[in-house]
Amino acid sequence: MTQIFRMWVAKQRATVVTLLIVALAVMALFARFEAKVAVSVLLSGLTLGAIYFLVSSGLSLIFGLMDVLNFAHGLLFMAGAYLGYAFYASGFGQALDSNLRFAIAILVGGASGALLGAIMEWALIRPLYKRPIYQVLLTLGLTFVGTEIIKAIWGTIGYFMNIPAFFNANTPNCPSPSLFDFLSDHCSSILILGRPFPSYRLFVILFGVLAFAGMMILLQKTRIGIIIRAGVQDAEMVQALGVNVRRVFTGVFALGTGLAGMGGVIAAPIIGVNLAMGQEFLLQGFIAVVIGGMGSLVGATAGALLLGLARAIGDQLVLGGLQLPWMEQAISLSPSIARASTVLIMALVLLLRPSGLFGKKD
Amino acid sequence: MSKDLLRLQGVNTFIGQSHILQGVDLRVPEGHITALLGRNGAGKTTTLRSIMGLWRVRSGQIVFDGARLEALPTHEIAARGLGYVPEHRAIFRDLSVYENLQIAERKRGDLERALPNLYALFPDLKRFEARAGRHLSGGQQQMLAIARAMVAENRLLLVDEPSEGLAPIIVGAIVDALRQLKQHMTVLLVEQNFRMAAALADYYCILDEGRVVQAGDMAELVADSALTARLLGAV
Repeated sequence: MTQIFRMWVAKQRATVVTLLIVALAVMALFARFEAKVAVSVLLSGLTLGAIYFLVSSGLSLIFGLMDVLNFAHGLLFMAGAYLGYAFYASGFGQALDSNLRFAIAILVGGASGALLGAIMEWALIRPLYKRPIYQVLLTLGLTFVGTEIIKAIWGTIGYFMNIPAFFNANTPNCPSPSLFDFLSDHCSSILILGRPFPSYRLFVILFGVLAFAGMMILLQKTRIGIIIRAGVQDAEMVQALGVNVRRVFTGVFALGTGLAGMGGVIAAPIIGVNLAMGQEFLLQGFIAVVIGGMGSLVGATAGALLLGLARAIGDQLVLGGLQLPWMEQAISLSPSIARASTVLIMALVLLLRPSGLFGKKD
Repeated sequence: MSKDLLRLQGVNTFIGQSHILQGVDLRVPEGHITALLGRNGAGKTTTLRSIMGLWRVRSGQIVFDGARLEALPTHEIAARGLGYVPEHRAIFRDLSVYENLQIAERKRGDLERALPNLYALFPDLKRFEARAGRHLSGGQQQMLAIARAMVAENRLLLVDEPSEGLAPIIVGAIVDALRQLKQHMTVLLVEQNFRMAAALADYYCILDEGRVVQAGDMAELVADSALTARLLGAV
């Protein structure tokens, strides 16, 4: 039994390390804060992790299959958010119920991200597959051009996207005492251990979990998934077996950027729609991919989860200050510490395991 | 000699600035095994990769069953009925044995049709069906690479150095498998191990510095000890 456990640990080392880090973070959280605060911070971390996942999963797939570092991924996250918002706030959209409007806005964000990504891959990146430096320059350049186009259409001010009615009721019965009650009263927050937590954020977590499950089913259980996994290892051999790898490349690019576009709309009711959102989430997406290991979807997920938790714990420490056992007074921390925590984690992981937690590629 | 299934005429291939294939002419008769022999660096692997479109030929013709291949992308070349077993096997290490075979399916039902024969030919593959490619031995990986090329209904199999790095007993099993293959398929075999090539092939072609220097019946090459000695010195 012990030997079986040891073998499992050896085989699943990356999973074990990730779980250990998460367990340590959770234990530290519960030791420092009341249970209701700790749970709230955890859920905030998972919310951020879910949004990071929508960005990092596409980045990781695209890099894994095509060796393309897509610096325009943040632009497509932002473009999805703007186009989704444009539909949500448009006259046509206003005629619809806000829940249906929001569902369509998510589809608009996803479809526009996928379409723009497919055009970008087909028209601009495909001729540069053997020139990685040119790809970096191109995708960076596209970010600048795309941001200017968005600025020209929507201006420099940000927009606030209302949370759809399903997650936005504010009746005297609110917050909902439980998830079960939420299904009938649709309060904007739900009591978790006696502390209200925004119900929309629970939806974001659920969306992230469903997106992850969908991607895993696609990759593990379908023929196209087998082709993608094989292509990550040896795209040339996949071609030699009669598969049109270029078409698969375009499809995967569109899938990755479509997820990012959807992520933009999902994130919009929390962070707003603005010109800075693309760069911010691109950076966090890249950090998640590097932590998890380039080209690994599970790695990108683990990276996103760790980053989300780190950011949420960091934010909470900034609010409450850092109190260590030998200190009489808590040290107050600058908000930039919370932002820097994600980069610190990346540096630590790279020092201990340069290929990332689940990475196989250099 | 039967009709040629594959014919190369004046094929020139460059890798970067290096002129690797310098006007290669090659015939592969249908229903037989043709061995492509030569020293390291003679251009054998480049010939196979040029046929598969993995290196673009700069000039010359590659004709398969009457149709020109040299301008087609690799996946279309494969779809015409060419199976490729590359040097170092190139199996997908993170995929299971079954998935490695499944990916080679070109038409629905290919795998279902081919699987009984493949498992009869290589029983180890059935035994380790769920095992990841990276956990197979070198011989099993080679068997998987050959089996993978047999899933779709290919007419020509290009096999590059199947005995490389394998124990003699495994080489014997690979020889048996290729001999059985010969009954259904035409094979172009690149092989450094002359004894293995001689045991399998009906025809041979020797490449040296990117040119064909000798071609003919394998039986004549084996029977003529003087010729064998002269060419073996060059092989």
